[in-house]
Amino acid sequence: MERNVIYTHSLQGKVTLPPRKEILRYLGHRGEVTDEVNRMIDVCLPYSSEKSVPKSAFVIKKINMMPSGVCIDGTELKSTALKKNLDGCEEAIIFASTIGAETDRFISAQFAISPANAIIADAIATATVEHYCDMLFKELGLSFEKEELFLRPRFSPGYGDLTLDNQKFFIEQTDASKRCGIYLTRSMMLTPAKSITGITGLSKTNIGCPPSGCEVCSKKNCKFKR
Amino acid sequence: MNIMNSLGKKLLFFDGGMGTLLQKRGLCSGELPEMWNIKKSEEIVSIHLDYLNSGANILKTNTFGANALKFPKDGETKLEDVISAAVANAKRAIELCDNDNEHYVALDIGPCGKLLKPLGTLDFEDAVALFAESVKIGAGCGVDLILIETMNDLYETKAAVLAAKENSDLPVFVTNAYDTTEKLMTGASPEAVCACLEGLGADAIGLNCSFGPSQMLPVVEKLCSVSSVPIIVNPNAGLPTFKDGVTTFDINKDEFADTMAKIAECGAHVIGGCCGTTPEYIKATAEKLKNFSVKEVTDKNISVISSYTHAVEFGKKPIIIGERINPTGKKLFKEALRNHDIDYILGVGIKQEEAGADVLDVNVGLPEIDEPSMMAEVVCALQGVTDLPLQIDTTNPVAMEKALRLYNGKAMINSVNGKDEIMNAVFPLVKKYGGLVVALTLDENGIPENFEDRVRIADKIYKKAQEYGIAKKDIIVDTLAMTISTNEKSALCTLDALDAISKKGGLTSLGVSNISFGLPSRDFINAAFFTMALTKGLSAAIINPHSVEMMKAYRSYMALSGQDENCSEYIGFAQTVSVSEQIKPQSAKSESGSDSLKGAIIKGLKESSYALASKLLETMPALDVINEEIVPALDTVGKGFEDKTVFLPQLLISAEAAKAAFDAVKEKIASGGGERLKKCTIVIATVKGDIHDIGKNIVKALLENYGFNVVDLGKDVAPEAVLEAAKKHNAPIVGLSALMTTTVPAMEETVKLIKKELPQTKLVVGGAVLTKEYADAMNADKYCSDAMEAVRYAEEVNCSLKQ
Repeated sequence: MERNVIYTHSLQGKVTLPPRKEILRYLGHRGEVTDEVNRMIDVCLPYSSEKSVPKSAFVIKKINMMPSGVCIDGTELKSTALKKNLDGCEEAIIFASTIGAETDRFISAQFAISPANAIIADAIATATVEHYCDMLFKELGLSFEKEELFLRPRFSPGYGDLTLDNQKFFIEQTDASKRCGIYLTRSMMLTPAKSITGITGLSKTNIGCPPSGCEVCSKKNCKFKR
Repeated sequence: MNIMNSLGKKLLFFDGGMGTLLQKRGLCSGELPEMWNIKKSEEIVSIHLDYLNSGANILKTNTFGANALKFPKDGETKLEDVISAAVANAKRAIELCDNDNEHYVALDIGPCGKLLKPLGTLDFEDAVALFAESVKIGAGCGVDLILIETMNDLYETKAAVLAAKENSDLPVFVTNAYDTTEKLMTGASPEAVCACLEGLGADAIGLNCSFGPSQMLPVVEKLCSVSSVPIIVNPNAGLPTFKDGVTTFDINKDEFADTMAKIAECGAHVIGGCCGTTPEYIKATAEKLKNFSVKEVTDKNISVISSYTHAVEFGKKPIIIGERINPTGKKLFKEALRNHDIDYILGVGIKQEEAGADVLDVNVGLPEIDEPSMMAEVVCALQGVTDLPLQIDTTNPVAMEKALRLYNGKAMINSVNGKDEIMNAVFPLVKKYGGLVVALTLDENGIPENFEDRVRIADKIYKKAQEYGIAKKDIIVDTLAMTISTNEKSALCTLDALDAISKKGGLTSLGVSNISFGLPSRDFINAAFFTMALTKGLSAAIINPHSVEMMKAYRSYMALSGQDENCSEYIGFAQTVSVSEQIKPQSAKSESGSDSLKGAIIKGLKESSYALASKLLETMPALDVINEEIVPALDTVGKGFEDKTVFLPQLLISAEAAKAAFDAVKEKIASGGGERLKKCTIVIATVKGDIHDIGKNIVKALLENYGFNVVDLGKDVAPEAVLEAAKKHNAPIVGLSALMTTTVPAMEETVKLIKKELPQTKLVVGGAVLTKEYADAMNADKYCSDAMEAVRYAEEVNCSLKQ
């Protein structure tokens, strides 16, 4: 795959539904699920997937290790956790993904008529964008195997000591506003809300099935930790 | 030379991309391209000149990102200097060019880089002001036209067009960036974009960026079929994509030119390029299409309104306008307006959408409220939750203008009439903002009693509208349904007038239910009258979409008049209607009953809870129903949540059932009056900069169902606004939520301000990243890790207040 070229990726009408286990995890659910909650998830799922417009932009760049972080294109991302994550990599994929703005409106609408539906829609949306990223990276992983490169787990601003201020870098590198409609607020939040930015190392050695998401984050106080 | 003389009459060529050319000439990553207007003007002039020599007629100034966000007032480089240098560079290139083509300079305006509310944080008026600055400078420098381009959000596009129109007399060209779903990133279809932009008076519209020309063709076709103004197409030289493990790349100049020829044949009037295209691409295209004669621009004569996603066309199938967002005769709605309970109003809107409304009428006029600001707030809030177009229903011109301005799309306007004073107030607004306006057939002499005079008034309104530049297609005549209880001939007069106007090709609308005022079982008459009007060609009806009789009449008429293929809509509808008079919303479920209200709430049975509460209220005082049934039920579920045997979804399901029971109580009290049952007032908000409000919304839902009066300020709320609300409502508790580390400082600032100004007020804080330590450090009174804890604390404070 070309380096330093921003690629876009989109899915049209073929979003696979996220695993129920993940939806329940984002609902803060542990243990047995009542029929009512299961039924509400079933009712909500088709609406949620109808509102999802998954899109990504990504670019492959060279990375340089610094004493306390990683340097890409002259910008240093200060984070020892990220450095550790990318250890041994010479390149990385910088990406931004979203399931679009309609999802945000759908969740707001649910709040006005049924908060219970709204939190279910919210959990489904979170699970959907994560699931979409997993799908994308699985596809990318297969592509890079041809180049004998292997993907590290994806890592996002907010994980460990990579602060949210770094969002700007990810949005600019991927031209995400123009290509996927992802914008950054002044307080470094992504809009639409169900959007993810991050980085994935490309390694010459295959370390087997890499951990991702919660497993690479060093935070201990997160409610959603697996 | 004025571009308007050539536009639409001959094929005009835009230049191509700028960014890639600048990179080739040494623009570094992270460097602002606009700085080259000043620092390396000779490079910019040379690129412009290359384009002119390739056959381009219109140069885009190198000002895509030249706005006050990127070049702030206190910055090193002034916005004015950047834009004036950019315009000078383009003009210089034109001077240097020695071919005979006509040449124009377009002030290029790109997106500002922030998403507007309600999806993002930028205020609509702030966006208008931002674009206005660039427009004023560019117009002052003598550009020939304004090009608003690469906009992937309709609302931001509208802000830019308004800024251009309000600050210059220049032609305004607009091109949007569509995605592979053939919509804008925020959901607008080409038809919706066209309706909105034509309404605002754009001189040419189209698309640019996003992808290569071949992917653009379907959108070009759609735009050409609906647009009454010339079409612009500026594609990329393709777009690198990754799909199913395969990568695709840019196309070459000849492939580009070939597809541009197809686009021109399809009906484009101005073509050029965007990202990745170079002078070679433009040259190949211009040479290929040298002697091409463009399709004539024709008025498509489509009567249309739009939301931020889709357009609704009038004159084909009859349009249902939901009438329920209106306080007239509705106690609970009035109360919601007075209490500023926006969620209640949103609920009324969403339910009408579920019941089958195509458009929602919005009327929030009450003598004791500030109608313009309420109208603006409700319109914006509704557009955050429903994609139906809205009908702005007000007699207050200030409220009307505010709503039309903030409305995302082309609105319906209710109404104008034959009085000169009213026409002179309303038509300028319709002209400026666009809209389909309801014209009532009354004038200074009142409502004529014969149909000929009503038709005469309609003609007078058409004529006057034309003087303001408003076409007949944007007028929909209401021939006024007046009750038959006082004049048994009145329905006939209305229908005759309607018939006459329909036959002359005019659109018609009726507020149907007025026909039965003063009669019993009004829906019987309404439905029959509705059917009669439909057979006379009624284009739109303002009705209650929850009324089974009305929807029966509508669906049956559609099936009988051959407008319902295979009767499928009718069959779908018939299945939702039982023999009784209630229409079930699609999401409704059949509930297994429960004997006690308490049991129903614990099980989360909404309908049973409402029914059981209503029954109890016949014999039991409202306060007892609350304290002996509703609250203990909520407590049982709440305790389960705290013990981790019940989870959030179930907690909220029960809360909703409790709310249904509370609704029954409220209705009882609204009809009986007197009894006070609310607990204290709590002001809640998600702090400034924070746009994630799910946690706050959950807390709000629970607090309300425990009987607290919750004033919800929403998300991204400034400290001052929280203070003001706390003062105004005399709230003993203020609740704040922050989700991200980046917004915790804003929470701290809010806590500090409230503590200083209102030392007695209890501050309760929560949110994903918050901890007790953080809360203590910022001197908040209470940290809550979940919604139940917030309820318990509120109960505690409420009790201590009573003592």
